[in-house]
Amino acid sequence: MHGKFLKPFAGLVAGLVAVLAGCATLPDVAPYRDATVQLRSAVLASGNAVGAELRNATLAVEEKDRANLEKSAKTFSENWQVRVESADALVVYAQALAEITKAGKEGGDTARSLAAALEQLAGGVGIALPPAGAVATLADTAAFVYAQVAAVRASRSLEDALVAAQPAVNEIAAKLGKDLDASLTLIDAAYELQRLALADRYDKEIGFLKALERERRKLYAQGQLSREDEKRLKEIGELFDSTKSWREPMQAAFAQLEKRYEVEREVVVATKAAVAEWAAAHRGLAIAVREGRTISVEGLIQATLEARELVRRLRAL
Amino acid sequence: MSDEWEDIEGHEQWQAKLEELLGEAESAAREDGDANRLAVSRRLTDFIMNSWPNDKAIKAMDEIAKRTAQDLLLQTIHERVREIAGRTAELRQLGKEFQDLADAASTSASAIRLEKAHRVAKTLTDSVHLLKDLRASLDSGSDASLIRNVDKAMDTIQKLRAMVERES
Repeated sequence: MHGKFLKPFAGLVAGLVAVLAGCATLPDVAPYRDATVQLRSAVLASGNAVGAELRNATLAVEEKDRANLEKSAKTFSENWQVRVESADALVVYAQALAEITKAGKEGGDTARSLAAALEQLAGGVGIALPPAGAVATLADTAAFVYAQVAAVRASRSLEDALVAAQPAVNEIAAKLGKDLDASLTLIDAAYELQRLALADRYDKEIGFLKALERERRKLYAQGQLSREDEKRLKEIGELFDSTKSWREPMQAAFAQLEKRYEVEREVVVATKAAVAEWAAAHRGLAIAVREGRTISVEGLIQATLEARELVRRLRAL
Repeated sequence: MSDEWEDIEGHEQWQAKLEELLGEAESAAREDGDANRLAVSRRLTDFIMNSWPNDKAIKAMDEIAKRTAQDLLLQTIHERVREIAGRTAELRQLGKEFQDLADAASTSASAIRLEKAHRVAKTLTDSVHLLKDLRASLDSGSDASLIRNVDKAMDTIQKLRAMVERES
């Protein structure tokens, strides 16, 4: 009896499915969610880099300026924490988008699971169920139909969520972009303060080396070298070699500062690029859902991978 | 590197160079942009590294260059930190907005997963078992009225089940 009932119903189902299937292609949101997690790490690392550099700079300024700079370093870190918390919310949001897609793709399982729960309940209240085969067919049919329904519902929910979030996405990307620009200036200024302190500390040594260099250049500029000139050039070389004990630590101090500065700057620049890619990928996702096509978030993945690699290099310093 | 320091000779020329840099520093301090401040600060540091001989007069000039560069850099840092702090309230608000958007999206996902229907089915099944246990423990004579009510409840659950099946 149930089999007879299902035959015309199956035709209706097939028609419905054909209509639904054409309008419910769900993009894979998981890479977007993963990239958002990486973005959050990059935002955190950028803030840590700037905070650390500002604290380093406090050691490079005179006593009377130290307290104010320490206060600014603390203010920066406290305020950056709010950026990290906002990035946490972006991760939760991206995860929720991925959940919608997952729910849409697992519609068949959902229907089967609910059918099983209802079957169990029917047994409990003493409802006579159709023969097992017919129940299974009904459950399969429901699962088949609901798989399509879930995909359509997910597609609509995803589009609604993406459209509703886009203004906030644009706004947060713009604000984080400005923050990261300001962070670049902070890193530059903190670096310059430390370079200034090193220049002041090694002023005498740098002056001596430059004097040797000037004299050597002057002698070579004469063209023809006399015996006296050659003797003096040899002395200059020896004097230069004798500076090794303090010259090398001095050069190492400058080189270390320079190296750290370059990587920290690159981390902030890469984070800024990743934020822009993240916002662009969000816009792309909304369009992809609306037009029922897939989307590549390769640009975003590359940008976040680059930021992650730089963070790794920074940690290794 | 062909640099601006190479041809400077004597105190007068170093003094003139310092005055030029101080003038640029003064203009940069009045500007909103950071690029000129950073650039002048860097050149003031380069002045310290290149000025010579390191006698008293040059050291005095170096000290002025250092003070000026440091003031410009500190001013820039304080301003940028203030700028970042000025956006914090808006970012906190945006964070909350994303939390709300995430909650709404999670609710949609849960609706697609038919979680409410699942919960209703589970709760009803549990209730049925409890009602059956209760009915079995009742005396048909003295608890007749209660038995009727339990049967009614079972009937209501059956109707609810049918509704859940239809609605989901």
